[in-house]
Amino acid sequence: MSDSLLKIGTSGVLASNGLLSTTSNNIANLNTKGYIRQSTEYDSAILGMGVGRGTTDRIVNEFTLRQVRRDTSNVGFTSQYLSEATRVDTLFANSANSVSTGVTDLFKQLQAANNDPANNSSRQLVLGSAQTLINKFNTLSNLVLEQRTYINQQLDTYVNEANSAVGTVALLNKEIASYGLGMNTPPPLDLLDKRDEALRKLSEMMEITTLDAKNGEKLVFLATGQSLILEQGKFNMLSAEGDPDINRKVVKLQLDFNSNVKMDVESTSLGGRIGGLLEFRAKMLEPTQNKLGQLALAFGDSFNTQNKLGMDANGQLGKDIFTFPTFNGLAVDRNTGGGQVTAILEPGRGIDTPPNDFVVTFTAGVPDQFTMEALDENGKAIAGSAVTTNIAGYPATFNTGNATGGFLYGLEVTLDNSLGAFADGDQFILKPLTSAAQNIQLATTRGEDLALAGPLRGDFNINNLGNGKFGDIVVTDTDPATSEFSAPGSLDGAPFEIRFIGGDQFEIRDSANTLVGTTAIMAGGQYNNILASAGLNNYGFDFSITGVPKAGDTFTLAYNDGGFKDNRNGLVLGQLQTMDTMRKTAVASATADNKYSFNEAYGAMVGFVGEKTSQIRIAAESSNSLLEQSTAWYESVSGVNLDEEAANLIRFQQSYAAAAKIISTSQTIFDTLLAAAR
Amino acid sequence: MRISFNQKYDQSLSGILRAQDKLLTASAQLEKQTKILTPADDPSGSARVVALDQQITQTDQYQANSIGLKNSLNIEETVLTGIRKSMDQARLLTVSLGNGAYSQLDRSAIAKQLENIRSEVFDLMNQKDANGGYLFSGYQEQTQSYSLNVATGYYQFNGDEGQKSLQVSPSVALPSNDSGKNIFEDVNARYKPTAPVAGGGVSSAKIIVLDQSAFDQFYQKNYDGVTAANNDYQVQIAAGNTYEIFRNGASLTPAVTGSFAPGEPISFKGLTITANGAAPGTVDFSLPSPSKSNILNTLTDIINAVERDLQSGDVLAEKIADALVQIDSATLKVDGTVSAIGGRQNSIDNIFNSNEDLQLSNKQYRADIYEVDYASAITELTKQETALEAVQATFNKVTGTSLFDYIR
Repeated sequence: MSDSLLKIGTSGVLASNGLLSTTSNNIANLNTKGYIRQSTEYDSAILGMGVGRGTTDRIVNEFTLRQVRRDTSNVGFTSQYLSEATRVDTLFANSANSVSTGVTDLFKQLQAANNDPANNSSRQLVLGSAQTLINKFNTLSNLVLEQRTYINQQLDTYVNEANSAVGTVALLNKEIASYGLGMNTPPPLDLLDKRDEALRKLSEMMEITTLDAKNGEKLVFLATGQSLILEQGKFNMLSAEGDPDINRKVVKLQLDFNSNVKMDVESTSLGGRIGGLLEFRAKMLEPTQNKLGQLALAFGDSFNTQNKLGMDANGQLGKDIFTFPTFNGLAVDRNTGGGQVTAILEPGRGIDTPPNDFVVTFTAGVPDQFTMEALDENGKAIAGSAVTTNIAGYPATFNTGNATGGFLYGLEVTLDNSLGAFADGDQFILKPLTSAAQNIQLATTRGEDLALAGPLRGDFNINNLGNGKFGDIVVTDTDPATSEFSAPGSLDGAPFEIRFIGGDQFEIRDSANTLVGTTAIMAGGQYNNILASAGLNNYGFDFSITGVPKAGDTFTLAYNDGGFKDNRNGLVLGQLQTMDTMRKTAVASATADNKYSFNEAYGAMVGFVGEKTSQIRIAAESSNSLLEQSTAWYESVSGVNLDEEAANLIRFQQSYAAAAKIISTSQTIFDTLLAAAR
Repeated sequence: MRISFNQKYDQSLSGILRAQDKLLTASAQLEKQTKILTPADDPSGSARVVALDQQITQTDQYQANSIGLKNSLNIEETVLTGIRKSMDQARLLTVSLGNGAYSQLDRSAIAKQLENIRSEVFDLMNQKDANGGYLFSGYQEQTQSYSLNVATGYYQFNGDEGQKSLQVSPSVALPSNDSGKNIFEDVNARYKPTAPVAGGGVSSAKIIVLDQSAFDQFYQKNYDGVTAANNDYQVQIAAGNTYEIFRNGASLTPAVTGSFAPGEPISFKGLTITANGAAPGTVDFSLPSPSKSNILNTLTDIINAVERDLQSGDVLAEKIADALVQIDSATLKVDGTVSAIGGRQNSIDNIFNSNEDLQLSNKQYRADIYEVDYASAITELTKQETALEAVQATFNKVTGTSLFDYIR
């Protein structure tokens, strides 16, 4: 009898011991990350012989874990995106960086110079504010480019963290599988805890789904369905590489059985911090960079073009004020040919360039062709944006003049096969806008090079009988190759004499008194576009005569020598501020309003940044509150409650005391038995 | 729901952090005096503020241009008024030259006064503006507007007809100067026919312009700049003492005929043609090509007539007539320019005022979007402060209770 009492008491004491140690374990591990509370359960032994086997289990609901992982991925995504977006957002909030105020200041100084064109100090101030504007472009662009470098570094760090978490999980999988699922050797609970914690860390980096395998392993897949952790402890690794642009890293999956094979990963559905970084870069950073570059290009190009149509303070035809760099086409990794593609912005066509990157594809054939398409923010070609042109010979240069349809997005592209021939299907990525804002520079620092005056001057002969006067002279082209102007500053055949011969007709004679043209009869007394009416279309300018001339009246048109008070070209330069000079999108219907002015473009950029950041703010708040809820649910199931454990301590103490009393009772019985037998 | 130990702390802590964040935002708004700390706070508002800022700065510049423009025009008006006064004086003196009672000495004295007036006007025409360039030279402001050509003795204009415009509103650019070519040079010399040439039986002929305005009309309608021969007129006097006037050998339509008597004036389009002698004969005259004469050259002509050529009587009367007609034309031109300036000044005033109103409403709009309303911001700040204090007190209460405190 007493020995069974002893046995029962011992089992009770041992059971209470076990319970106490579990409770103490829970209390001790209160601050352990990822600890799931444990509880021990006992079966009663057979034949009423006390407490039998005890099993300690984690109190966990797999669904709560999955929920927490999913919400952790979302929070990782939105918080990473938000912290990057806030940096760009703050850039635009600071009005000292504002490109818009830089442009407005430049035009203000231009107006002041227009009021007094002969004064060199006001011209110098215009160039000074142009330099300030360029500095603003450079600063903003550098800050944005810095963020790109930072993203590359962050990507490396996160990919390493993700890889180490993957490695940990795979290792733990192997160890847990070696224990088996048998009842006799259950796996240590802390291994399971560690694996769940590693999975949670991994889910912060990217979205994952898990599947339980039969031998206790957990298989992990990416959100795109590609497998990350396989059976029997095998796993794939992530790597960050720059392809084709080495400065722009993308995430690839390196397969376990052949580490040279790298699969592309769809970056838009990665999720987590890595997905947040990539999404920010594609949807916000690069569009902003492109829009900034487009602003710099369009501004510089339209200013240059208008400056060339005027006369500077040295009496010469105007030249470029801003210079732009050339840029190289980046060969995609899988190209097999050795040809090279370079490009520059075609002068005067800045209005055609949309805020996109481009891809040039070479197609071999008879004849060879190349196709240029605009890329959207995901790197895919935009439907309907392709421009295909035949190649006649190498090196081949294409621009608006010789491209099919007379349109090449404002770029001049050169294909060169001197270092290697092109292969069919070779692709090159063109990024004209990425470094435009960083590399735009002033071509001159001398105020005299600002062409505020018009290049031509019209006079009426003082002895005219009628009151005809020169109307506006509109200059459209001063390139010596295609107009009557010659470098550095003169007009061929000038001074021209325009004689009204009556009957609404004019005769035009050059300085040698040779008749160069007669206008058609311009009925109605409206003498507009005299040169066009006379069939002289390549002079680069045209004009009108106002008033009522009488037969025999003559007018003179000459180069504007000495006309330093003239500000006609300066006034047109000033109009650039409100003219539509920039293209909104790459593909639009023929009747759409696809152009806007500098300030509108800048305002649209600010609105875009603000709107994206504001959206992400809201998304971050909602994902944070979702994580709070799912954490609360998880904690309510698996978290340790100190008060509960304290009550348990008291309880198990008492049961321990009671069980110990059984032992002492059995001892008393035994002593009594022994005493009775003497 | 079962609350775990960690849950208690995490929840309270996140409450405190949130309240701190809101407090910081409210105080930042007050510090920076704006509702829009970053474009994310109000994306469409930020874009609108960018557009408004450009408009406001542009309008400021237009207002500055308007003021500059008004100054330039005022200077020009003052100079032109001075020239006008001198022209009036010259006219009086020229009229007095016709006084038959004057001797050569008297006329010489008047000529000297005219010389003084001429140098006054010459000086005013070469006036410089505030920037140091010549007012009336058009685009060539470094070139003196008028200078004396010593070889011919006449004054010539050296500038061009350019006008510099200033932008005073997005679509309006007003000229800030007028060229001397338009104001002073473009003054018609007096229209008169060439000296008549008698032929045939006519011994001598004289043509006087009796009705200047009628002749001016005839001249402007009938002068042919293309075919020079169309300007030759001939009075053919036939044997029967009738005459007919031909133009380049062809009759006029309707034909101009009449009866002729020697010494009797024939009137034709404001001209009085007097022919002496007997029929048949011809009197040839033609319309000269139009010429212009600025006021300086007009005065030079009349001064030369008195001082150098010592003219008097009919010859001088012709010269005086020339001078008077030309001074009148010059005066008209100057008056026209002054009123054009006045018109421009009115435009500037109107545009300036409407720009001011526009500026005011733009600034108002911008303030509505961008600036913080102090009352509501300070209220928000106080509210967040109180909320933070409340949350911090709650933290104390919630995390302070534990069963372990009560178990011995």
